[in-house]
Amino acid sequence: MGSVLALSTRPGRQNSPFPQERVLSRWERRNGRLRNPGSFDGLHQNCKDVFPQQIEGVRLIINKTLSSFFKVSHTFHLSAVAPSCYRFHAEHLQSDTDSKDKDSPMFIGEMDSSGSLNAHSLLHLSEKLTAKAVFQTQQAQFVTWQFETEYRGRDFTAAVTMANPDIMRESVIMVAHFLQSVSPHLVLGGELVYHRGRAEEGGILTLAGQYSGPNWIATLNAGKGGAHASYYHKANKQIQVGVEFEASTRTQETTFSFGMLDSRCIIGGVLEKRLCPLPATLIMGAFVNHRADKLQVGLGVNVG
Amino acid sequence: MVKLSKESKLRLQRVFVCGQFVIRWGFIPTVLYLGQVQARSRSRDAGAHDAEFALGMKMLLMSTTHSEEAPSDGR
Repeated sequence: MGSVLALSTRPGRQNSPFPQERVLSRWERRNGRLRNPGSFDGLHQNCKDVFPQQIEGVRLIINKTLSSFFKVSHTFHLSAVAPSCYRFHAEHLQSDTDSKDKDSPMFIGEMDSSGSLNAHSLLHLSEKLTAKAVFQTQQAQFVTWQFETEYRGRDFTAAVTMANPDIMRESVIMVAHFLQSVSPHLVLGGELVYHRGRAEEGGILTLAGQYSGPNWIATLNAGKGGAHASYYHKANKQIQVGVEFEASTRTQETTFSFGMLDSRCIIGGVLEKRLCPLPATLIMGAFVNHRADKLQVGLGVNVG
Repeated sequence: MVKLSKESKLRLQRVFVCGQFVIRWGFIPTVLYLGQVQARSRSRDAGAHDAEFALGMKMLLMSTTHSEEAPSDGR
C-alpha cells in the first residue's frame, strides 16, 4: 500500500498566526441562518489556547506598533537547551476590524540570527476566497513551502492545500478540508490527505465533528492516522478549562492533557503580570518533566 | 509527470534556487516597505481630511457671523 503520513507531522501543519474568528461567536445566529464554521485547523483552537506555552531560558521581547497595520518586534533569547538567538519579527496585518480595508493582504515574516525564515502571507482574492502561502527555512534550506486556497461559504468552508510540491523529485502532499454547519450547535466535516513520492503513494481520510453547548465545546477528529478529541469549558470570565486527548497510529504515541498537566508527566504553569505603569509584561514559567527528571524554568519581559 | 531533458532540469533547478534566495531575503524587506508606504499614505489622507475639516469649520463660522450681522443691517 505504501507509507502514510500522520496528520500531526504533515509539514507546515501549524496553527495559523492570522487572527481567526473565535468559535464562541458561532453560537449567535444571524438572521436565523447558520454561520460559517471557520477553518478546519481552528477546530481545537479554543482548547489549545488554554494550555500554557512552554517557555525556557531568558527572553526579552520589544514590540513596536508603528501603525494599526504595521508592527515590528525584536526578541532576544538566552537558552540553556538550544542556541541563543535574536529574532526579528515584522507583521503587516489589520488590527482594527472596523477598518474599511478589511481585504488588504496580510504578511507575517520572522527571521532569526541564523538566517532561518518563517513567512506567512494571506491574500483576499474575493470576499469569500482567500489564498495563503507559507515558507519556512532552516538557515538556507527550505523546509516547508505550502500554498492554500480557502472558500468560506455562508455555512460551510472548503480548502485545498498543496504542501512541498517538488517537480524535480516528483513529490507532493495535497490536503482537502471541508466543514459544514449542520445545525447552530453541530459542525461536521472531514480531511483528506494524499501524498505522493517517487516510490510511495498514499491517502488518509479523517472525519471531524464539533458540538457546542451554551458555554462548552467538544471536538472530535477520528481517522486511520489517529484520533484527536478535545473539550473546552468556559466557567466564567476568569476561568477556562481544557482537556485534550491525542493518539497517533504512526508515532504510536498517546497524549492526554488537562490544563497544565500532561500524560508525559509534564506539569507546568505560566504567570503573566502587567507591570503598571510601565508598558511591560513579566512572564514567568516553570515546567517539570517527572519521567525524564527535568526542570525547565523560563523568564521573559515583554516591552510594548 | 512530464519527462524533462537534463538541460531543462538544470534550468528549472537554477530558477528554483533563485526563487528561494529572493523569497528568503526579500520577504521581510517587502513587508517593511508595504508598512512604510501604507503609513505614509494614511498620514497624507489624515492630513487632507484635517484640511477639509478646517475649511468646513471656517465656512460654518463665516455663515454664522454673516447671519448674525444681517438683522442689524436691516433695522
